[in-house]
Amino acid sequence: MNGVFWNFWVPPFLRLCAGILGAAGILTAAMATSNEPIKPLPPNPKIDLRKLRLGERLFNDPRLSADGLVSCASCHNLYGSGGADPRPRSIGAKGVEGTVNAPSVFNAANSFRQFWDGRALTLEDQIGMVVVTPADFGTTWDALLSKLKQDAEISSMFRAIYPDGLSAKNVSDAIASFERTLPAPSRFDRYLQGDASAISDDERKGYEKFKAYGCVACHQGVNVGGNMFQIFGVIGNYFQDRGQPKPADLGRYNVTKNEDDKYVFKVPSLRNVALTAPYFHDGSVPTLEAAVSIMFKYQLGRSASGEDMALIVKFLKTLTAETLEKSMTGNLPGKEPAPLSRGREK
Amino acid sequence: MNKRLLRNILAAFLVLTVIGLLAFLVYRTQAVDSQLHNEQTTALRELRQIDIRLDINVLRSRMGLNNDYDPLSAPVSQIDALCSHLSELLGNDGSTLKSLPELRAVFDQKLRVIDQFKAQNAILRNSLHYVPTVSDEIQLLIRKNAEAGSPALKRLNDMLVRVLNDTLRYNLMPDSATSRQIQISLAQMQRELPLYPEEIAAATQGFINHVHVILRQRAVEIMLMARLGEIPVPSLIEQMGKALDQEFALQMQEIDHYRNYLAIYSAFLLCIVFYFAMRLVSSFRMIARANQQLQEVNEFLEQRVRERTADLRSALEDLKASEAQLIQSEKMASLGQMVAGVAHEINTPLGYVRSSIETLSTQINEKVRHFCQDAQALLNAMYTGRVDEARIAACLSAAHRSSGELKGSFFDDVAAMLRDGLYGIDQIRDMVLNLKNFSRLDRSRVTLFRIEDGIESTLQLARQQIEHLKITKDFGTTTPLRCSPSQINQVFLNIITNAAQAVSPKDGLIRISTWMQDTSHVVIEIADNGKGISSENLKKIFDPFFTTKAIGQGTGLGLSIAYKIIQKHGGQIEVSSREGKGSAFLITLPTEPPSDPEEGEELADGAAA
Ligand SMILES: Nc1ncnc2c1ncn2[C@@H]1O[C@H](COP(=O)(O)OP(=O)(O)OP(=O)(O)O)[C@@H](O)[C@H]1O
Ligand SMILES: [Mg+2]
Repeated sequence: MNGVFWNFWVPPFLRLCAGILGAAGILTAAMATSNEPIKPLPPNPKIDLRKLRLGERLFNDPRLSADGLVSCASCHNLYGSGGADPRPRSIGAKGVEGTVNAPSVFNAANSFRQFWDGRALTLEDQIGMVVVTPADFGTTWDALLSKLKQDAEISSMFRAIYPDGLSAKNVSDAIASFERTLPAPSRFDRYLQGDASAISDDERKGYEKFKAYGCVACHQGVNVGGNMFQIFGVIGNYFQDRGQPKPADLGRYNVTKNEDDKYVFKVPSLRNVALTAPYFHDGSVPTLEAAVSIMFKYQLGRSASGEDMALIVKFLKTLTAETLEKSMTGNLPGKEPAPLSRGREK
Repeated sequence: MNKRLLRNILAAFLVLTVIGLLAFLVYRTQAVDSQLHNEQTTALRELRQIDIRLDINVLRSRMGLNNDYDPLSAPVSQIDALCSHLSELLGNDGSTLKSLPELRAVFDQKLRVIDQFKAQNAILRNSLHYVPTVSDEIQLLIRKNAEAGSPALKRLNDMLVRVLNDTLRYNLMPDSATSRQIQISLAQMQRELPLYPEEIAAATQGFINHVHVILRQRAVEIMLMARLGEIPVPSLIEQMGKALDQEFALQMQEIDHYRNYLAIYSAFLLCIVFYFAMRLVSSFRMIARANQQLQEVNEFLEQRVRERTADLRSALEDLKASEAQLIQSEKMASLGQMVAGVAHEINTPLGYVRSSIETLSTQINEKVRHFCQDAQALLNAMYTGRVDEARIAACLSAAHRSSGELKGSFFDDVAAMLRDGLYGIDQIRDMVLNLKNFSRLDRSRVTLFRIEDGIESTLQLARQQIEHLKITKDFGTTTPLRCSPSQINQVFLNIITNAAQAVSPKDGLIRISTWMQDTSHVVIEIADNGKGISSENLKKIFDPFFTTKAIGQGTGLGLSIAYKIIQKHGGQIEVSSREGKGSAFLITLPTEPPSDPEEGEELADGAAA
């Protein structure tokens, strides 16, 4: 590609090795990985258990917000709603209403960018923005840290883990580390790994429909989405039909101010999608079936039979993490939720 | 002094400068961190690899070889992390750092285009996938339809086949002519839509829509691919790599310079060191020479010292001899004093003896001779054979008269006179005995000796000096000592004499006490209520020749001799005194002296001499 570069940078021997390795890599990759557009969940990173405990505490700590009433968990309900907000729009500190429906935190770590408009690159960036956004925590790092500093136990936990103790960076790191251990495999992951009995026939048929109708064009990869942007309304105008235009509807345009980015959103991950109603950035759709049919209409520009749609919905339900699946089926009043998967802990 | 300090400071400064310059040069020759350079180039190379992989994956997605976009989205965070890592590695490394934000911007640009590409590609693929399906569906519907033979539907069927073919061809090789042709056909379809049965019309609308999408998205794709090709990521990375290399080369060059400087400087320093070494060697040589001379001088001095020592030794011997003489003369002096006392003591009984013997001799001469003469005449008168009565009678009466004189108190007087004489003689004999006892001339050797006996005989001898004083004796039961009695007596005499001289004649008091300090030590205390010793003098009283007494009265040797004798016996002598109140001498003596017999003999000899 660039002879000068290669000659300059890589000694011939290395180039040869790289070439052989690259070729071998492509070959083996092609042979080894299934050619499914959806990929199984990789193992979670190993993270210091103390850090996870701290991160979990902070995740549930309402002191992070200006009025001391809102925690991360307030809008990312880990037990009932698949890490998302069951309210159409989240309510931040001091009752300030947000502009979008809070998406799931469960597989956020595997998304290529954070927020519907992708304005944050990493989880840490995302946390930093949440802290200062009025509709979220509506506070400042200084205020937040001084509040936490009064808690001797939290301070000492920080000191035990981080050489520099309590700081904005370390608060973000602890929460993000916790969030990185949230992804949990679903029955469909087992299916992808070769366990054909992990899903039922209908569910498998639903997956075939999912691929055949082209849903998979956007909802693919490890996160079944979450790795690209797409315009909402490829065919047809969703916003016109819905009415009541809002600034948040402009999506990525709000970040880039690029005409092409109007109505463009991050394709959400469909993992745990059965739990994360209501749907879409505006939280306007309460059921999965309705959401699927809207997708057919505005994204695929086609219609499907009710039977096919039902199969697709069945398939989508296999994407629920097995840990959450159990907690859902056992979701009786007063029953403790099942413990969350934590990846391989140290 | 000040000058020296200044010189020292200057020297220290000079040394520091020399070392500092050396350290600086060494530092400059090591400053370039090839490890760092390696890491920097590695990071750049990784970025380049990611970029290449991105390009490849864009192509793969474009060709439909990738069926997910993870390979196009995962690098987003990798690039971010690598750029941050690189900016850390570069630190404040001039020109290369300046292009880093540019690199980030260019990557951002690329990622934005790739995001658009993904969206576009998903739609295009979807439509490309859908168009043949829906075309088949429509054809099936036409065939099933009752009016399958109608010209409109027939045209639709033809158009469907053509448009589908054109669209697929257009997708592979986009050209405006095909596009225009497709547009025309689609427009026609759109126009004829009301002619189709409802179901077919709906499906055809979908077909039209998706072919439009394909045309639109394919154009977008072409545009995006062109844009992607224009983004100068590789050239920028290459440029940065070159800049890094250039910087590195420059630094290496600089290091080479400094290495040369260092070599020169080191050579210079070596010269200096050599010079100093030479000087050191020469000064060593000088020192060696000086040492030799010193040794010679030393030898000479030693010779001198030896001579002087010999001199001193002989002087010391002389001194010892004179000291012995002195001791001897002191002894003589005290003997002289004593002799005066002793003479006085002897003189008195001698007077007794003499006068009684004188009287006796006159008495005997007058009275006994008369009687003897008269008795002789009577005897003669009686034995002549011729009796001369008258003469006999006269002789008889004369003899009677003279015998009468011998009668009565005469013999009493003679006996008394003889008694007096004997008493005097006894006194003299006692005196002599005491004198003998005191000096023990008879037994000069070391012997067992009762201290109290020594004190008694000393008091006897010093009787004349102490007769007007009150003497208190407070003797404990003490173990006899092994000592030279004459010497110990001399000590007592000296101290008692001093005490007697110190006290006033009116109420002078001397108390002599003895007791056992422990089973092997005897203590003798001789205390007086005399004038005492000033604290200044107290330090000197044991010095030889120290005296406060008038010339002729004291030699100042008494206590020094006492001290020496007690010391030789392994004892101690201490004194405590208060001016005007009195003094007390405390002598502690071991029952067995530590000295060997020979020394004891010497002691005895000294005393005998
Ligand atoms: N018991 C005492 N009371 C007061 N002074 C004393 C007594 N004993 C010794 N001294 C002082 O110590 C001095 C030294 O005494 P030391 O017996 O050595 O010499 P000395 O008596 O002066 O002469 P000598 O040779 O005739 O004894 C004396 O001159 C006297 O001043
Ligand atoms: Mg004396």
